[in-house]
Amino acid sequence: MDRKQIVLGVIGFDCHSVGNRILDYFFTEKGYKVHNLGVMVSQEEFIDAAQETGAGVIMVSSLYGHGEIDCEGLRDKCIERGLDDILLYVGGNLVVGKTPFKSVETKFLKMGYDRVFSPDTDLEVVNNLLIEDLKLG
Amino acid sequence: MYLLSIDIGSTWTKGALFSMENGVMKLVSRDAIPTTQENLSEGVFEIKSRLTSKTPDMVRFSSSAKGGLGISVIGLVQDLSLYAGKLAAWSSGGKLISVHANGLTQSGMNEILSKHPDIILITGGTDGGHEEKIIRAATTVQESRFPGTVVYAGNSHIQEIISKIFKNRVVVTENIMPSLGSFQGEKASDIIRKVFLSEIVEGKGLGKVREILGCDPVPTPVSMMNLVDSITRFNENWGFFGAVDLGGATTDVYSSSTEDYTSGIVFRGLPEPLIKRTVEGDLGMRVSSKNTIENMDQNPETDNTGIQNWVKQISQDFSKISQSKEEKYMDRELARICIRNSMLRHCGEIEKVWTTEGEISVQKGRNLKKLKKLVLTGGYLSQFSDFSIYSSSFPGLPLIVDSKEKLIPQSPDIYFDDKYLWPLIGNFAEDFPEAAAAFAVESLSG
Ligand code: B12
Repeated sequence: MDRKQIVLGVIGFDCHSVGNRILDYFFTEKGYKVHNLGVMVSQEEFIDAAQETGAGVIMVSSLYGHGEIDCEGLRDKCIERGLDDILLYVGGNLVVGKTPFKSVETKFLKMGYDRVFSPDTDLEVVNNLLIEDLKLG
Repeated sequence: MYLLSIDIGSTWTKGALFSMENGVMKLVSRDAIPTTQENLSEGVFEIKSRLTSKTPDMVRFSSSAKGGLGISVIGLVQDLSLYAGKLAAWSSGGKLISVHANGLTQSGMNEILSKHPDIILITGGTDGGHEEKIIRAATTVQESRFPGTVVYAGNSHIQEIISKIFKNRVVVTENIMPSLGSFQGEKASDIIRKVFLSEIVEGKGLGKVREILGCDPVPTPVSMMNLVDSITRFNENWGFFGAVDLGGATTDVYSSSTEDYTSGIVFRGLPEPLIKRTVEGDLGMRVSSKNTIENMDQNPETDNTGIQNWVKQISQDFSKISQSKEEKYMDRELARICIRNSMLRHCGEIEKVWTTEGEISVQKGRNLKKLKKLVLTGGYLSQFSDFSIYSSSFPGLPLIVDSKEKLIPQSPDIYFDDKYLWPLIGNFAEDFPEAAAAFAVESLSG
């Protein structure tokens, strides 16, 4: 099973597609097999895709401000479906308004996400973290 | 040139003699007798000699007798690889005996053994994807000493491991879902049809028939698929149509459709094949009538003793034909249950969801709401040409169940295969696609 695979998508009823395409392009270039589910993806679809593909990481984007509600519970569902050691990365404009990123990060880490990213994240940094987390290095 | 076509059904053995001149197919004669369950070749011999005393120029035959081609499907995710497996099984002319999501448990294996499918189809995992549960399922199947054929069409990266588990007693083919959300069932369907010929034909008592007729059989649904395919390709105005084949043991639904997803609709799940076939083994007019009435609307007010008694009678004599007014009424009720439920399972659904953007529609499966033409065939439907049977199976459209709209045809024009020729014409759809398609459409009443 190839762990160097990413399931990617924008969660909930969010239809901001530009960032999603950039992420797809960037990680494909870096040699990952990216399974891009596009926009408006439900938690179930993320998990279904991860299960069939055996991907090492699910990358969730949320831009439209409902991230907190949409992302809650994904970790629990993964465990329930037998995806015990899958990585969960999340990024974008995760909450409404100008909450300091630190407190956003704490909130999402608590929900069970392994890494939380702000909209201005350098994707090279993300890639380095991913190599580390997937133990590819 | 004369063409002899025979179809051995679960209840009736049917035959037709066609003529073929200048690319035009015509019916010469047609006949049917009850299927000789003990020895299928007896009935075939009888039909053949009734239709012609001469040697025809070409012979083709199909069979759905003795349970047809029974397949159990093992997959991973319900809406992904398992659904792909079901589509492949249906397209290959099979009938689903059982389905197993998320791999296979021991009790799942016991269920398979008790239901005796001819084939187990193992799917799951994209190429390079999931392995563990598939390998475990394969091991469970191997250890069970399942006597039938195992076909593997999952994650292609573990083909060798799978072959080893089965000590090569497995037919390995391309993954039916090589990447996420793609469906490539053709190779698997072809392989299953080949397995049918090499492993299953003898066991179903068709070896003798093959000798008498001098050609290989195909599963009846394959003939129908070929015919639906030819009609779609060659008949103008028949690019978007459906057919219901209501038989004694199963109800098969076929539809050919290239769907444009209307904007504003979000589609979920696997893309649907151009020609889709679904088979319902618990819906039928005779052999499956006991299961059929379990699908009745459960209304404590209605008295069902009449239909229950009728089912008891016909279960003892599958070739019984309704005579009295009451019996005819009961058969119509059975037919309505079959049409309604098979159609509901064939078609998709749309759910409306509220978002920040307002209301959007999420669609799963096929949308046949605007289907223009629906052909009804099968022994019962052909005999009675009851034009209101479809609409009376769906009183009150649009149909909304659990706040999901069912995407069934809303007001299709109904056509009857009243001479009950379609499966028989279908046997020649590969040899003469254009002529068979033209004749099939011409032979309908409607
Ligand atoms: C274009 C746009 C739209 C377009 C989208 C068109 C499309 N097809 O994509 C339209 C007009 C449709 C739209 C609609 C809405 N929008 Co708008 N939209 C924007 C806008 C201006 C740009 C988004 C964009 O494309 N950015 C460029 C890409 C490259 O950046 P990105 O999306 O942020 O993605 C990068 C990073 O975030 C990061 N990233 C993202 N996800 C992840 C995940 C991981 C794991 C990692 C590592 C990194 C990562 O990497 C990406 C690539 O570099 C932003 C404002 C802004 N400047 O960001 C508002 C914005 C996102 N929209 C906003 C809102 C509120 C809406 C609406 C709700 C407005 C409304 N009331 O109708 C709707 C929601 C519709 C819906 N259901 O989704 C708000 C969200 C507020 C919040 N979160 O607090 C924003 C921030 C504007 C604002 N300041 O108010 N929008």
